[in-house]
Amino acid sequence: MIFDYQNKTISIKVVYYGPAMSGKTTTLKFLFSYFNKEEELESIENTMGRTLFFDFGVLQFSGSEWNLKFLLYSATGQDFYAVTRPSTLTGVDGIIFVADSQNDYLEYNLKSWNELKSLFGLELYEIPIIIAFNKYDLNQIESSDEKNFIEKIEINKFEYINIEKTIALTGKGVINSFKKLIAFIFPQLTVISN
Amino acid sequence: MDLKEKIKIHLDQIKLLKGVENAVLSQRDGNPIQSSGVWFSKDEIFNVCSATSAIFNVGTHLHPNDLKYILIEGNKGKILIAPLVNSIHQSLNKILEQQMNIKENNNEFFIAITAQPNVNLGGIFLQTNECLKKIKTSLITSGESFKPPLIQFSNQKIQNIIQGFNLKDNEEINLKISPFSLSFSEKVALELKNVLNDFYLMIPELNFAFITIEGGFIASKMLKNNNITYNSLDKISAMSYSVFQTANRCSWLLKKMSTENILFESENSFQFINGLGKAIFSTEIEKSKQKLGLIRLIMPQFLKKINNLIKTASEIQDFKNIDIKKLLGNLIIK
Repeated sequence: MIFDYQNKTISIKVVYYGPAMSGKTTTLKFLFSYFNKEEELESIENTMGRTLFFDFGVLQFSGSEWNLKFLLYSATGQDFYAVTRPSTLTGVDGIIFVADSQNDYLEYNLKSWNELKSLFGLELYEIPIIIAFNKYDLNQIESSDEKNFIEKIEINKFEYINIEKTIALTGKGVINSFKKLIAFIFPQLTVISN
Repeated sequence: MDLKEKIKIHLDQIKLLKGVENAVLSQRDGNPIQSSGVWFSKDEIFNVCSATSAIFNVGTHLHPNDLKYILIEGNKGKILIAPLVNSIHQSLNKILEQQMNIKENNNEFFIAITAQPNVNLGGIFLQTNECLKKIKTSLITSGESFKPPLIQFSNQKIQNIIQGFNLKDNEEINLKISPFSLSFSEKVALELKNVLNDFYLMIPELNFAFITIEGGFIASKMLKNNNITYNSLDKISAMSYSVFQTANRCSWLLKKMSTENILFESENSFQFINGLGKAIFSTEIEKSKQKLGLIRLIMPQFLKKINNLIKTASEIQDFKNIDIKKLLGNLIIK
């Protein structure tokens, strides 16, 4: 996070993180289209259309005296590009962990989560995190894997964490996750939707 | 003789050049094809190829259609990353497009060459031209596709790939990252701006210059090219910062060194990314009048000033007095 007194701007960095093909890029694309900024999202992707390095875009909102600028990234989920993920996470202020809520994806979600934990160590417990269980519409009944995931990550140890169910393709829950994360990063603020 | 053996012969020829230590050939997505050096683990092979691929793809993103090479320099050596581009391959490129539907194929394959710090990699690149032509011809005429998997390689595929690499033993590297906060007072921000202004006075062919601190946040910027918007500069900054971090990782994997600077040379411009601790200074300069050597001579005095100012900003941190509620009021998300 930086406070720029000359330009009266607070900039914060948010990273969408999670296993491959869980819907990080789709979530980010919806977020930008919601604010009519689709063109602002830049992707470094491979020839198969998967995120090779990261997706990146900026959203800026006006406050009463200062502006709030979000640098939004999604990290690559492909294991093959794991080496690039630490550089995307450096200096992060909040994480939206996009998990795949389909049955049988627990192992992939946990692997990705454990990587996050190994990168930050104990500091992860202090970073604001929203767990977005994406694609929840694809399950006929509530996935037991979601419950298992929450148990295994020891959610009680985290200072600022919340869970949201999302469908990135339709945008359900995407804006809510984003607002919940802002509320964690700036608990003093009242976030108003317009 | 199979394709990998053919390529190995040419890579070994490159390695024989004075000062060259290793040469690795990858497909654009980072799929390792062949190398001439010794590797410590299979993870090292895949990490180096995916990291160089990320750097290469940012390079082609920042300088579409005219990237010549990327040069990463550190105290222990240099790493050159370059696409296999050659005009004699136009007819072969057409075959590639028809056979495999691969377009923009000048950037389909790239080579990473590591060398000792005192060698002239530009000279080496010229000497390797013939080998690179033959490698690309072999790749294109083979008809093989080198695409990586959607999620991960199967064990069998990994074994097939590393067969062509000379593997030594295993090594683990731990990497820790942290959140980060910094406050820039008006005074420090103004002083940074003055440094960028002075830099512009020395090098008027400047397209842009910016200082980006840990996390990819721009601390100060200057834009002199009307074709670039401030929004694009945010993207260039994010890419430049991330590419520097990844180059650092790559330098460590290949040479156990930190990256000091990166140069992207394209047909019309030089883009420099200089490391300043956890921050970077990046600038793009039109090639028309400026000489690379002269820019390199001018740069250090400015880097020193910027570094000192960032250190000053890091020392004066007082977040307790910042009233977020007063600054932002009720934030309207619309």
